[in-house]
Amino acid sequence: MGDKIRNVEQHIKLGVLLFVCLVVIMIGQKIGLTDFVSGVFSTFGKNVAGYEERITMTKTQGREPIPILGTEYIEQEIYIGEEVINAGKLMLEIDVANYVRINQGELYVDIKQGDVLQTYVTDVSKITTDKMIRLVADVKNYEAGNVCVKFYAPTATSDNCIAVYVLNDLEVYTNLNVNGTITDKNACIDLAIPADHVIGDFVFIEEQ
Amino acid sequence: MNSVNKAFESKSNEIKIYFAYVILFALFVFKMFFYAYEGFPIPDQEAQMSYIIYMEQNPDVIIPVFEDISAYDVKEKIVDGNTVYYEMEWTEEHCYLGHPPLYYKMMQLCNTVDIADDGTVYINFTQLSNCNIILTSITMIIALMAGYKLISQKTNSWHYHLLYAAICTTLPLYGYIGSGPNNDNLCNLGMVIFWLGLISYCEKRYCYKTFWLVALGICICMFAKLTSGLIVLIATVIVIVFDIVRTKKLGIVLNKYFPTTLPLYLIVLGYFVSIYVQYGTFQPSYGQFVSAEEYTASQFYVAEEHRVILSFEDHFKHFFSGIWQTWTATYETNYMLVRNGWVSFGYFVVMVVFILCIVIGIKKMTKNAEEKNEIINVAMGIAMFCTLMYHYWTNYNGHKAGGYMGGYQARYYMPCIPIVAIGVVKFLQSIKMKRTPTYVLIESIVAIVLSMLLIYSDIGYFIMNIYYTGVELL
Repeated sequence: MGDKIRNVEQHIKLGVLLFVCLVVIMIGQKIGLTDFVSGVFSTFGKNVAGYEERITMTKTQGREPIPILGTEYIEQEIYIGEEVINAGKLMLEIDVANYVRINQGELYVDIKQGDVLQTYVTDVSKITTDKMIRLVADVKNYEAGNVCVKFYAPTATSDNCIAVYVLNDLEVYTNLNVNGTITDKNACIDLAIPADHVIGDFVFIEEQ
Repeated sequence: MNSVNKAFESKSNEIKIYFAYVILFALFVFKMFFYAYEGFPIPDQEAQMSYIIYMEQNPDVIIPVFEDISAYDVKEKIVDGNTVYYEMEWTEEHCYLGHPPLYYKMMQLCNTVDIADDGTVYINFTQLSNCNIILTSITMIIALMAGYKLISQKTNSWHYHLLYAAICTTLPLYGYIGSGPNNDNLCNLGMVIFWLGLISYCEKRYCYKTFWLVALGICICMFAKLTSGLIVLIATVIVIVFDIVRTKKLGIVLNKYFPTTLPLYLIVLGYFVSIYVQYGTFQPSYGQFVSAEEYTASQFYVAEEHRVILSFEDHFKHFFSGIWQTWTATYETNYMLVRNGWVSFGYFVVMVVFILCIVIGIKKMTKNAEEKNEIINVAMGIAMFCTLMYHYWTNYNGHKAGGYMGGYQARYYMPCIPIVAIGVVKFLQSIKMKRTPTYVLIESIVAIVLSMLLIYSDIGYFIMNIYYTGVELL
């Protein structure tokens, strides 16, 4: 009997404790404490994912691949704002596919604004169909505004082919240029300010 | 000296128990605030908000006219200090939900919708999230208290409590959905109230409280969602039949307490009869209350030439793999963060032990009809299984008729998680082995490791992976 009463007492004590805990957290929410802790968790999660802040994001549904063969290229204008320039770094997350092949060769990316041109390169064997590849660029020499991103793979052949995904969504970017033809599509490139520890898949070659 | 040591050990055990519950509960509540703060979308969020708007526009409605519920989209997010509002945009389509209105009425009464003079509809999303977080937190407090009481009746080691609290608080969707508008949150509350009633009944406390808890639980579940309503109804029938067979009397219904609860059952019955008269079914589906054109243009209908035709066997695999994935995932229409491999191992172990607990419970009950303690888990286990089979059957027919490949969501069974948790812990407690210090140590390590794994698999895995997926936040 004594045990039973004690059990009931403890059971009520637990209920009171949990209720007090809820009230304390609700007060914390009112004064912004939960937002602060959530912010810390969010920053941590984003850092693990490799970025400090996402700038733009393209839709995940309805993507279609556009192949780049030989001397072909695609060009996408993107907008970078003051926040990117202030951060000094930009990360492009590019949805690229390899047509389920093990390709060899190189994929080049030029980032051009006015007279400033940076060229990056990656080994296409790194490209898989289920992963976005990342290009971390130093944007200190650029200004806020439109920047042209050009993809080309001079050594690719029809047997050795990669593709950049695009979609019919003009909300994020416009004017995708495929081999000189302006289309109503845009490339699937997400922009972010990278975390300090992130190493991109591309290697910087030169700046003009 | 020995008694002083024992008292100290008992006190230390008690503190550890409270600590485990408080920490895991605090993490659970915080988690919901985190999801709300980040604005992660919740399954059917816009449809749920559309139903609440309908209740605001028609405050006198008790039985909804589903063909009058318009679908709204979020047009713009407005942040005013700490408060987030959504400006909603009317669409020409209908809201596809055919659920009973209790949850939506509650949310409307919480002052979550504001309709401006020019007809613009705003949802106070912060208020809506807070109301759901409080509702889910209260549900969790009741579930944890009930579990504490049941576990303390046997070996009262702190690691059993830790494991129970961990299983209850770490099911990914429980907290995720708890952070925003969804009628599943009310199902959760209904189910724990019903469970409290069953516990009270099994403890032979035949009183008003017991019968009212059961009736209230059934009523809330039926008025929140039919899946959880079906689970509680089947479980109730099993308990009644078991009691009649065991006692060979009709005492469970022929007593002075049960008739006092009849008005509650009559209200439920009245609602469903009226819906049945109107629509020819207890829960109208989207195709039943919209025009053929709207239905065929919706996500629930796939044109014959585009259909994926699955054989019975393939559909069976598709459905049950989907059920398992959604049990361990955090998802919305546009994304799904699935726990695979070792991250889903904890959930797998929990389900295996629960099924084992049901099988052993049935075996014990068939051997000895006095094994009354097993009835709750057995009844709930069988009820979940029957509901799952019914769910599968309707899903299969829906797939054959309209080509729809979705509708296999395990969140309909989420309200049963406290019962699953207590089943697992009771099973561990029932293992008859000599409680040597080594055995207790091993048991503690297993409980701690499993609890930690569950915590990581839930919020830890979420935070470490969600930002990779590029979820489109509202």
